[in-house]
Amino acid sequence: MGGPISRSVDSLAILPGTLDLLILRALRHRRLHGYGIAQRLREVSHDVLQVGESSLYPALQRLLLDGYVRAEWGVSENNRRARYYALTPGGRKQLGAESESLERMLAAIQAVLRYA
Amino acid sequence: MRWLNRIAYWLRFARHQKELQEELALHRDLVAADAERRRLNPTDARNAARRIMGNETLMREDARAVWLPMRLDNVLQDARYTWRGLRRSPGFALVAVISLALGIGANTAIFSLIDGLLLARLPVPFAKELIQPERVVGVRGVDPRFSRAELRAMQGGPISLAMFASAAASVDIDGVAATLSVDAVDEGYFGLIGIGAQLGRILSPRDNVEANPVVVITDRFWRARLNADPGVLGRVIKIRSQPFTVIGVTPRGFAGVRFPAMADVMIPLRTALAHGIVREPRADAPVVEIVGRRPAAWTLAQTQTTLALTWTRCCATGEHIRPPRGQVMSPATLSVVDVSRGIPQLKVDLRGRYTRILMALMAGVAILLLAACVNVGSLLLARSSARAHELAVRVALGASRARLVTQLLIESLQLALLGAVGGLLVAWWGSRLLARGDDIGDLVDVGTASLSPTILAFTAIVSIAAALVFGLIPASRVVRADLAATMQAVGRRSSRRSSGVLDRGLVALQIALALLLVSGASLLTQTLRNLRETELGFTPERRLVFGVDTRRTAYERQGMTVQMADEMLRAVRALPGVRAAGFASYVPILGGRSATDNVTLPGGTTPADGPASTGFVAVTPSYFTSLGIPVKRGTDVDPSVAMKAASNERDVAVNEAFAKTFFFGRDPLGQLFHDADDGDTTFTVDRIVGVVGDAKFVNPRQPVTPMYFVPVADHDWPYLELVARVSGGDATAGQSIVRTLASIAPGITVNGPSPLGAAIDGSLARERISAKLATLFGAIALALVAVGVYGVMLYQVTQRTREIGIRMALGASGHGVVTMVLTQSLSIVGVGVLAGAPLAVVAGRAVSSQLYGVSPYDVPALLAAISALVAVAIASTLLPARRAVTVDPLITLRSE
Repeated sequence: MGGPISRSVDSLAILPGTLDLLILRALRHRRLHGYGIAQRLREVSHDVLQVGESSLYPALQRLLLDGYVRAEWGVSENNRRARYYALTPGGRKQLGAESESLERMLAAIQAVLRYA
Repeated sequence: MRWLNRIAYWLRFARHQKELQEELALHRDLVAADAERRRLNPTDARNAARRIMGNETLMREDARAVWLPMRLDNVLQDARYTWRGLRRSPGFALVAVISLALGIGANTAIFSLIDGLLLARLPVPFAKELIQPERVVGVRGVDPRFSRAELRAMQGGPISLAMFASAAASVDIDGVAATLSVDAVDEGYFGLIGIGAQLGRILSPRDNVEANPVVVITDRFWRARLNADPGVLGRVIKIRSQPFTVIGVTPRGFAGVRFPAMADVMIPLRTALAHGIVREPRADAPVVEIVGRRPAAWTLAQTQTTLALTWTRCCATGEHIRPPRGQVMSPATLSVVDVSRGIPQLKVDLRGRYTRILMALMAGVAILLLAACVNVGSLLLARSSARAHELAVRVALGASRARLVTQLLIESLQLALLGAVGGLLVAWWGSRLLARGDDIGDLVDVGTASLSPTILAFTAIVSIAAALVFGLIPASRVVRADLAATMQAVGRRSSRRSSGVLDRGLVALQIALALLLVSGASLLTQTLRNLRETELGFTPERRLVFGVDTRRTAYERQGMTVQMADEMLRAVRALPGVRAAGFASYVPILGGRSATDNVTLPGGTTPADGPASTGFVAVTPSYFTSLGIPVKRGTDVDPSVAMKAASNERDVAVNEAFAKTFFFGRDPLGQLFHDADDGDTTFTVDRIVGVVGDAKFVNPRQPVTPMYFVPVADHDWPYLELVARVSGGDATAGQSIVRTLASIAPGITVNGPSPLGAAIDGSLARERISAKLATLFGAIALALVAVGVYGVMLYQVTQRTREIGIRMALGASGHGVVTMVLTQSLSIVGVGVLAGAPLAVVAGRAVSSQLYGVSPYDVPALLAAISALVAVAIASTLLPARRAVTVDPLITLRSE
């Protein structure tokens, strides 16, 4: 299908850690399994952000290592065993802090693009 | 926090991997299902999914990499891989590990001896703070003894001080008496030292009460004499006939503050003084030694300044140091020494005696380890050549050279680790073997030395160093080699000559090192043999020596009198089994009271180099006969004719060296000479009535010095040594002599019997140990050479299989092939010997001070070592040679 060029999230490498932040945000109100996270991000960004799975799972492992998310096995919609991720309190705090700094960064970039 | 999570992840590693795989499988299915919904056919959908997914393997690796840094992961992977590789070639692994274990073990064994002897501190807390003050009393001398009043005056400052005195006393346990070492300590001693008791308790201030004397025994005494009896508390032992109750046992390893620590029992100082175990002739007599603890932050110099000041103010008696001629007198002063390693004996510097030989041995085992590393290195080389193909494939698949080198180094470390474990076993067993029956066993408690952290750290460092040394050899080849070439089939079987040079060079190096050790061993063994056979001048066999001591007995005031000596000799000679007996103030090897005097000839003439200080010994008649020293001219000494009433003349005997030194070949009989004490103005005129053969009185190494022999006189000697010549085979003669002596002078102290032969062997302890160890190392070196030569020749034969096949097809006989192999092997040996011979000579010169009767340039010894090496090399070449001969030319040519 046509539409906006789907960029793999690797292009967000200019702002490192952004993928981790997006995952945390996606998990803010619900538990999701890996595919569910990728789907959510795609939906909300209108297909712009298609997370490369080769980036997704390492990112999830990072978040697990840092203790920002935890994982449990559950049953998916089609009755398959799936691993669900949820935010930990530490993750919630991290999400708040990181969102704020990212938004500041974005505002700064926008300002430069508009007025410099 | 993160690393905790890492560890938790690692513990369930396999499970996590499986879970990840399952997760990815589900993800893939969902992607496929999604694509299918968008009306792609299932196969395309799957492929599309796969494409989006990317390289799954890579992704799993990336996911894993989050948890485990890449490098560490690689290392662990390599470790598992190389471990499997080692298990698959057990022969190689076994040989390599054994070589390393021998090398590392020998190093650890010697180091543990060095540690115990030279480095180890006293087993008390903060031993490095212990100090001892000494009075500087002369140009040469220090005196560590003080009076009790002096100590009390010095106490009270920031430096804690306590006093103690050591004495030998006869201790009776359940009827069995022996002379033991007693440490009498003051009330602050145990507190200062800082140890408690392992059984019972240590002394406390109230134990100074004389009514119930108590004693704390040391662990070594408890184990040696009381069989570690757990019910020892409350037992009564008699010290100088006074009953003492045992109230405690010191911790293992503590036996006083001296080095070597030899105290058997410890009693309160006041009790010791009260019962005469420690004598204090007058109130201000210097009878105690002081041990102190300096404050942790103070240096030794500070401590010395402070204490010296205190002492000068309170106690310096104004005595001055006697200066050598021409210098100004200075007041006696105090010096403070560090005794964290124990207070060394004044007369015999045991540490010094063994230091040099242990250092030489350390160098020897380091060489041995080097040889072992070379051995293992060449074995690894041979192995890596065989794996060259595999390594080339790995490089082709993208492994960096660094990765390959890491893998090889990991393999080396694994071998080194196994070698270290084996080495600890070898060291444990080896140091026990060394310590048995020699002086070293007394000096070092080998039990505790074995596994101290210092030793383990040393072993670890040595093993890692060894691993790096032998690991870098094959690793460097990997880095340099043109691996592309090895991929080709021809390259696989080529007989590249260049590759052989390194291998053979290494074996030659090993042979050079082995030659060094073997020739060193033969030099030291020859030294020992020479010392044993050296002309002593007397006969040590069947001679028993007894020390008869009047000190601290009823006879002390009169000392050994001529009459008593006569009586004793008559009684002893009458015993069956005793052929001769005589007293003297000094016996060979075992010593006695050494004395020297200045000798001048009448008319004031002295030998060319100034007044000669000569040794003299007081003897009774038939002393010489008892020892087997021949009376060459004139007669034996006879005290009854000795002192002429009016004059100061006496009849003496001299040895041949004396006659030569002072009378230059003139007949010395009837000649007179004077002898004088240092500073003493009365001197005696001695008339020579006999000349006896030269005898080595100090030890077999020392050359004979001029000596003269005076008759035993009254009041001169508090103790004398009795030498008895007994007929062989009579084991009870010693006891009957002791009983006889005790019956003539009841209460007198008799020490002995000491067999003279055993004493001589004992004096050669250091040479014995050196020879034993050097031979051991030489043997190990030869074993390593055997393995090395075998390995490299086998490799050479395998490499040249094709060439050998062609030769045999062209008509070469088996004989010719064997000759070819042997020639190659001997050429390696030749190179090694050429390199090693000068090394051996240099090493021989380095230890020339230890040698006796043999020079480092001794050609027969060197030739013997070389032939041993050649024999070993030939023997270990035989198997590969046989392998070469059994090559079937048809098979090798067909595989072309």
